[in-house]
Amino acid sequence: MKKQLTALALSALLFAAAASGCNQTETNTSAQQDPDPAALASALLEGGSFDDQLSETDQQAAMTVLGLDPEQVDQCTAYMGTGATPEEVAVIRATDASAAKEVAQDLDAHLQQLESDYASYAPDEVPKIQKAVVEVKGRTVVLCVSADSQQAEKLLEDAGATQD
Amino acid sequence: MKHRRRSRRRRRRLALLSSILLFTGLGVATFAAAMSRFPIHAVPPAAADQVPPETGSVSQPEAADPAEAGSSQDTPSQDPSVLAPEGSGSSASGYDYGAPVPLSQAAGQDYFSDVLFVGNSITDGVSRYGVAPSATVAARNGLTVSKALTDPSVTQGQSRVSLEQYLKTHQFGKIYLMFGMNELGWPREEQFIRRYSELIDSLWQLQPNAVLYVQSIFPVTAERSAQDSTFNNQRIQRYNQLLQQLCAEKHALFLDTYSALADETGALPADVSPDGIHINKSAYQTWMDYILTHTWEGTNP
Repeated sequence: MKKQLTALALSALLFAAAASGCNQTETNTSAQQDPDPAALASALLEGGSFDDQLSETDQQAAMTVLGLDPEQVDQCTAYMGTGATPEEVAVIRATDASAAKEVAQDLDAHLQQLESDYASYAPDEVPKIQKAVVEVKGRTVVLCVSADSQQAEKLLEDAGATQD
Repeated sequence: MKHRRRSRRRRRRLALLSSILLFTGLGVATFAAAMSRFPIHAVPPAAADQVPPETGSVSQPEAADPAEAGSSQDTPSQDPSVLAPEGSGSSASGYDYGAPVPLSQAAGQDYFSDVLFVGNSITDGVSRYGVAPSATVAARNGLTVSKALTDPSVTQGQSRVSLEQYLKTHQFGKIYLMFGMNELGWPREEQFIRRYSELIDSLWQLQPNAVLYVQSIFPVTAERSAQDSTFNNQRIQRYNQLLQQLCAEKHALFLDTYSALADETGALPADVSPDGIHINKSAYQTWMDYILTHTWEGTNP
């Protein structure tokens, strides 16, 4: 029930963003496809499955930890775990679609580093990293390392945040 | 004429004797000043307005061996069973290196601008949560005291470099070390202390102007402590006792971060830790607040 409500909220959020842009000029159409990173990250946290306690970290810290280039990022919301697990959630609005692809590559590199760190430290956690969700749609890039990647993917699909 | 020559000679002799006495006196004074600072590295005598040691509790080891105690002075905050043999922890300046750094005036966030944190996954959280944004963090999961300098741990862009490499081009005013959780499983505690001592010596060589703090290991939750033969508070307190003694011997600053996070039973509160060991963001804030209110206020020599 909770997940359905969350999916409904996400859909309403995206619909509202799209509807409010109906009378905008063509240059604003990308904004209709780009959800608010903070709202989407929060919804993933609420609806996702996590073993760890995740807390929001500030944008600068998040970009450093994730290895992102600040020149390519407009906005970033991230929730980090305690270190007991590699679980984390990040939603990034890149400067444009091209930058979004590079951000996704940076996140892949980050995940490789994470896997290397946890391989000897907590090997049981490595499958979470290997199944991490990285989605790009328009300017939005989503990263979700959780206990249930399928659930995270479904949440994003329901929210329309995955590539068609 | 003869009389004048004699008196001139006498005056010259007096002047020569006075000069010799003056320079000898200066030399003795300089030598005495140097000896009073030896073997202190970078920690000076306390400033006149230093806040007196706090009287709150210090972590109490449950299995303390009186023969391996840490402090030379009986302060109200310390269990006598952890006291060091007389005189081993005090410097000529009077500061007791066997005692934790006392409460100080609260420093602002800019205090962290020349701070280097070195440690394992727990220290890594300082950067992960951004609780000290201006500090530099050299940390990674599983990092131990023996590999602190050589394993890549300092993030530079998308890669990491070793601390040894990083310190060749960066100088810090304060260094905070926290090791021990990963070493609780080592076969010999002497090995941990020896490697820690070597790390301190190396850092002093690389960063001669930095004030160095050795932070005690955080507690684990009561539940974790009760069921884990390695990660339990009895072993942690034993290791912390050894660290306190190490600081007394090396004249390094001991920061009682164990007490900063421990509840009234001496354990980590369960609500700040999902696995009994790692801590959430609010506990990091508590840790940073403790650092900012327990700073060394003297000036470097």
